[in-house]
Amino acid sequence: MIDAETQEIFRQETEALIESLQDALLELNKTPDNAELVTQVFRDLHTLKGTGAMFGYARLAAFIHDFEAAFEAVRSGKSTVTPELIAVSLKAYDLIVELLEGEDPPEDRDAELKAALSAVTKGEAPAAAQADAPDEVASSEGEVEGWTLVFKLPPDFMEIGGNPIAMLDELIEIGGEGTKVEALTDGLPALADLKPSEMHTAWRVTLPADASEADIRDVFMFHEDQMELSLEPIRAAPSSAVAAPEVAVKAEDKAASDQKQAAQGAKKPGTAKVQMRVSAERLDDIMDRVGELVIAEARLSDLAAKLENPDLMEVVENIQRLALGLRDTTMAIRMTPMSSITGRFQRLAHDLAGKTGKDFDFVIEGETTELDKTVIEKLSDPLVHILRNAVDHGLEDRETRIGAGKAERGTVTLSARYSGADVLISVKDDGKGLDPDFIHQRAVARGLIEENAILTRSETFALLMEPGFSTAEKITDLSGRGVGTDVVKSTVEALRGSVEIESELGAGSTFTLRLPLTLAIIEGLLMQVGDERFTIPLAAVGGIVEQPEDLRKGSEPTTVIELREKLVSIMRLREVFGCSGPVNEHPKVVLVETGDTQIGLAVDRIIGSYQTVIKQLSPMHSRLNVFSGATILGDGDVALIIDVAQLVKSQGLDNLDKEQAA
Amino acid sequence: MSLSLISATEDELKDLVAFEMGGELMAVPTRILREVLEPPRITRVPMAGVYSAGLMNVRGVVVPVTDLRPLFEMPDKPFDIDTRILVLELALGSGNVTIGLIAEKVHAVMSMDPETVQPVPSVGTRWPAQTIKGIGRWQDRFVNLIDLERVAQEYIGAAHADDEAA
Repeated sequence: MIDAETQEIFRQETEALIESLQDALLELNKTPDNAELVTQVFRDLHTLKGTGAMFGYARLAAFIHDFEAAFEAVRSGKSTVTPELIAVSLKAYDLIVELLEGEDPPEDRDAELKAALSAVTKGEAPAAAQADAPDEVASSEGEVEGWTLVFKLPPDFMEIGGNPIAMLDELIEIGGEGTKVEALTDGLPALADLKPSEMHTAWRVTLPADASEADIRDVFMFHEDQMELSLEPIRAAPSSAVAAPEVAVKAEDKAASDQKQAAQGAKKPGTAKVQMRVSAERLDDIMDRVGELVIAEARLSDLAAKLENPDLMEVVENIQRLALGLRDTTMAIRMTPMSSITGRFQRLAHDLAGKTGKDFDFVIEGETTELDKTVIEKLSDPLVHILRNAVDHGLEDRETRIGAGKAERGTVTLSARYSGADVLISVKDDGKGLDPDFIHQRAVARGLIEENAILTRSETFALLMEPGFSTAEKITDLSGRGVGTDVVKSTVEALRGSVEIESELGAGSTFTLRLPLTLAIIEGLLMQVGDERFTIPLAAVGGIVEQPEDLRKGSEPTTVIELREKLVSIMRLREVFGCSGPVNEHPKVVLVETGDTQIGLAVDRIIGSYQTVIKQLSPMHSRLNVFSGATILGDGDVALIIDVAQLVKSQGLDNLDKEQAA
Repeated sequence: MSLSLISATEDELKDLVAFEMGGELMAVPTRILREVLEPPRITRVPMAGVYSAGLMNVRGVVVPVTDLRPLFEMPDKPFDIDTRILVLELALGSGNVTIGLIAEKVHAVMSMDPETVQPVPSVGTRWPAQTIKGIGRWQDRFVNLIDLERVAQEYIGAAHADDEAA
């Protein structure tokens, strides 16, 4: 019944809701008295229920109905937020997620969780149907004998995808056998003026007393703004006089009911900011086109420079400015802050604390650090793995920590920050740290290295990420889920990043993911070596200096010279890349930063800085990781983009420099 | 000769483009041929393997150019008036890949009679095993039908890793 597109809209709508729900629940755990959060939870649940019911998720809607009741009890002051309530709520949340994903968990879980929810709210949470209804009825006297509902939908209702028959069916389901439906056709235009796609019929529905007002109103929750609706209780004769004024209020217009809902805070979340959901492919499309525009613009400005026509130059500059602005805006759309995934880590930390019995603080730093959305999504799994390892294997239990003179509670920090052209995301724990000797022995036992191999500290730690290496002494519930640390490595490397591990025995470990800001367009520095041209990300460039005399003489690919009273490793790109062609009279050294090291690249000439559209290398070249991609220059030629970190690694300069530093 | 001995299908043999490489006549199915270009400027990729001639710009798309002459131990020949680049779309395991292939001269679209197509003899050939699907005849010359998908997967992509350490 539900087509794929509808399903997708539903998924997108609910995704934001469940994320918000989880955040609110976790936050509520910290500040149980925060009434706003309780309202937020209630609101999210309510909307989820409505959306779920609308898209045919009956079981989901029924379950949330009771979940919502528990928070209704809290909201009305009949119950309070307790850690138990949060714990059960999180489990209920999990069930919701499973149901949303179309899984079919055993039915008795619903009942179990319902019972648990009702227990933690001290049994004050009966089915919401009753919880809601008395509120409405209590305010008026006289027996309610039923409801009269009159509604008229907007003319374009069917064009926007509404289905009045489904609404009527829903009403009949609420009201049961006693429901009477009557069509009001007064609004119908003359046959000549009738457009079949427009909606002119109104309905009067009479429902029996046991239908709850909230349920009836729920049927229209997404359309109330545009439609006319009046819902009047039918009262027994003696109380009709009293009921009359109330009826007037209800019939008045939707403004009154809107106010009531605003007070309830139960509906229409997020109407303040207008947002649009756009598919990632469309964004990629826009990005591609902006890329082409930037290339065309570079070509145009090349031509204009040759023609030296001031009028043309003016136009070119204008276009340049516009293209730049367009590029920035497009890129900003794709950038997502880390905070978009930290919610699930909060949750993970909460669960891990419960499962391992280890008390720890989970700190998140640099949540505003932005990364490309696709990168962020792919990072989630590796980070979950590292985080789980940090708690499971890194942190000691309470007794051990006290014995070692450490703070009782451990601390795990997830941080994200920029570093040159890279983003560093690290997970740091203050646990027992990694034992290089133990890792060495294990690696020998697993046949990963020779017994007498001499490795640096970082090389030893890097063994952890080799396939087939696992230090887990025993398989716990947390580890052994089939995702090894080697997967972390391969995922990060697929994103052209690297993993660095630092650890102090007894003091803790830090896993750092270094990722390039893999954006489709970067600011690049174009340089010439012999006959060839190469680009490096401008963000990695620390400075440009004239080549000192003594550097021009040698021809080793790498060397070390003194520059500004500091020893700097130099890479002669002509030799490293085997370039030919004339040597420039005034060669330059481009100083680049990678990680903690500074390297000089000896080149012939600096051409300038350009908007560089990164074109991924085909699978045929992608194993050649010293180039992060290629770009098309203004004259139509292709130039390679150097991945500075990988280039340094390929020449073994990263270790060289560390040895010098030591 | 029965078809079961060679790995080319009858359909593949009907539409072939014949070109010259190292004095030999080679062929690939037109099914995978997207266009034939006069050689544009090609950017060399340092540290890449011998089969990589570089990268070219085909209307805003960066396409790798491959030179298969080293694979078949053929002598190098500078680009001349007859040199063309065949733009081919290969279906590899990882998805479709567009590559350019250097051809010293492009002859024509032709078809081979399946009856005349023979498998590569297992001894006496100097070419790497299974790079040729079969050998047929056209205008009194032998035509070698290249198994480009296999060549791309086993040679072109794999050639870089070893060179990097150098």
